[in-house]
Amino acid sequence: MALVELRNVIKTYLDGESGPITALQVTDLRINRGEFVCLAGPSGAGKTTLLNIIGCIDRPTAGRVLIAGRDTAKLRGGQLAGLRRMAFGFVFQSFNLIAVLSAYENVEYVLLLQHVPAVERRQRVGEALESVGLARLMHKRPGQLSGGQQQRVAVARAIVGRPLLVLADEPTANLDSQTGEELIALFFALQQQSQTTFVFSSHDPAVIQRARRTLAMRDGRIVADERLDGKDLPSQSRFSGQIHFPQVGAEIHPFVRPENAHGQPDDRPEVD
Amino acid sequence: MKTLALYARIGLRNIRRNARRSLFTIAAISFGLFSLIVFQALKVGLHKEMVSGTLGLDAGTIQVHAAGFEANMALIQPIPEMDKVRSGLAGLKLTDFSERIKSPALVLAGRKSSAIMLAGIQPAEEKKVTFINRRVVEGDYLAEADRVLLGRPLAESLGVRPGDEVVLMAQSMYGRPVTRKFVIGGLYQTDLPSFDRSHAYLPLPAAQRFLDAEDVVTEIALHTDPEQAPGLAAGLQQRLGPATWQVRPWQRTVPDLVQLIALNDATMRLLIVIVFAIVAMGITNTMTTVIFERFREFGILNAIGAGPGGIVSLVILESFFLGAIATGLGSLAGLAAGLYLQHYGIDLTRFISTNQYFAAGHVLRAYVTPGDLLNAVLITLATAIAAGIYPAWKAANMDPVKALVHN
Ligand SMILES: Nc1ncnc2c1ncn2[C@@H]1O[C@H](COP(=O)(O)OP(=O)(O)OP(=O)(O)O)[C@@H](O)[C@H]1O
Ligand SMILES: [Mg+2]
Repeated sequence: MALVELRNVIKTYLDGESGPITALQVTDLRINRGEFVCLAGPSGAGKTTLLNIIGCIDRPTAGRVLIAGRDTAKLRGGQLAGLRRMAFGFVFQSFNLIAVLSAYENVEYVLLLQHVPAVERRQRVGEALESVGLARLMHKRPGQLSGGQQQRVAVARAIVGRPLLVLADEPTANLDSQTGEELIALFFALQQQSQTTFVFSSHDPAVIQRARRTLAMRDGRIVADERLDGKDLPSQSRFSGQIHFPQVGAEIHPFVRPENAHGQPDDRPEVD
Repeated sequence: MKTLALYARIGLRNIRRNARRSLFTIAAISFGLFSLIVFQALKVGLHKEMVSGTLGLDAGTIQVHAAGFEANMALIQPIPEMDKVRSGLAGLKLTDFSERIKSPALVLAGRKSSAIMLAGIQPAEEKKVTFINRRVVEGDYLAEADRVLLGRPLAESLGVRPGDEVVLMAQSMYGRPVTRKFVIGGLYQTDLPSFDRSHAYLPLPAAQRFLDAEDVVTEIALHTDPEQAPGLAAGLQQRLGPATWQVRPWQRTVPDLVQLIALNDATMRLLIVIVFAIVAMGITNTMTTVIFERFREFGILNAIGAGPGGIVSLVILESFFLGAIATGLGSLAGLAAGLYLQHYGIDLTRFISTNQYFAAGHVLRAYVTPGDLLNAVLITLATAIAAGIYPAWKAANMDPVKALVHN
């Protein structure tokens, strides 16, 4: 069973300037457990809309969204909040953290919502901050941290709840390219350790090329679905002009390996 | 519980972070509470003063008469079976009372005369009920058996002084005219000139002899806790039986005072409503601004699964804290001012000319009661919480997509 499954999903905004806008139109999309997926595409392609629908922050106008086989249309507001709390981790583009809470407290918040007992909480927050390399700065407030450090706190917050799926909307957009690449490398390392599924969006080629699977989007549609598993080679891509695939080589990014580290997905997603 | 503690922390830190705005809001709420406490204390003080000033002048807190005496107050209507009444009073442990005989009379000096109410009183017992003895300004207070005590304004208009003689004319108990000369023993003066001009006192036995009404008492005035007067009066009435005697608390003997107090209370309530409506609008306004400034934060909280309940608690807690801090400051300041005014009072001599109807001292003392203080604190806290509800609802219903998509 796919972790995320979208069937005939359409999202229409009625308040567009020239009539209704179909922001998203996805016939069939499956994301399996443990994948490392990037949504690539120009501004307005529908990346944010798709991430919000996968993350159950937004509901589709039509179609079905299944998370671990469960139809989310049947969930009420409170249940959706529960699903987000227990199953998802979010990283946003900017202003991600609660300004008045320290890095530690921002991360701990998720575990408080999950009612994790104090001792375990302390340990897991420590580990999460350690894994993003911020253990030393954990008592700083967001305003005292650099943009990259803030994003790493957000990553620690996204993973500390041990979610099935981490969703990140343009997490590198406000970072310089070096810091951005480091952040994605961090994603990948965490994904390798925990087998958590990561879905992030970007229009930065340097970031996109770190993904193991790339969904190229344009005008609300997925126009290409590329995997770094040998079957979909860059040359076969209909979108190869814009997407660069990871440079394989331990010297550049020790996390990135040519083979799909977590095995073959159980079914092939369709591309529309 | 833990999350609530976190929301509390977030709320408190946000209050500190926006120090200037928070201070402004807190100052407004504190001021509302401060004025509520002070005005309430002044009102209670004024009422106490009005009650004690009016009741201590003549009425007492409870009066006993012969049933139906009001039908003709010009007649002397003896209270029947005084022994039974006295034992009834003793049975209820009512010890502070004064027996009186009252009759309309005319006081004459030379060619001048004036209509008065003549009261024969028990000089020692009367001290427990009224303060006339403490208002004697010349001569002395009924020290000799058959000397009359007049109000100073009356004596002045008659052109007499202590030691001079006046003639009193009245109707005896049996309807015969009686006339006698009395030496003026002393003059008194209260805050009510109209009272002073129309009331004269004799010791009870002298008045009884003058009115040909040996051992007759027409009125018993009691002193009790004003608050308990209705209950005690009802108890005494029940003990004595309803047919022969009439026992009335001050609320019935001086109904105008009750009305004035009720009017004051209503005005005060209106004031409270206005002040706290303004306070509530202030908090709501502040909190709504806060919500729109931090809409991204609420979007993120929503996205990571805080749920509407969490966001509502966060906003209401923040508003509650503003209210709680203000309550601390406002009630301390209000209590300090209230106690100061309770101790020293405000001298109103310059503002009040002469109150024609009710006796109230010229120094107004506040009176802070724990109940009023608690009440004011609870009203403020409830206002703060209530004022947070709308912004909280707004925050919880903020579209997370809008909050997150548009940077
Ligand atoms: N709340 C909204 N109301 C109306 N139209 C919207 C709304 N949100 C998105 N859209 C429209 O939907 C389309 C897809 O938007 P979306 O934000 O998903 O694109 P994106 O790929 O995330 O773009 P970007 O790279 O600029 O973030 C756009 O045409 C956008 O204008
Ligand atoms: Mg976007």
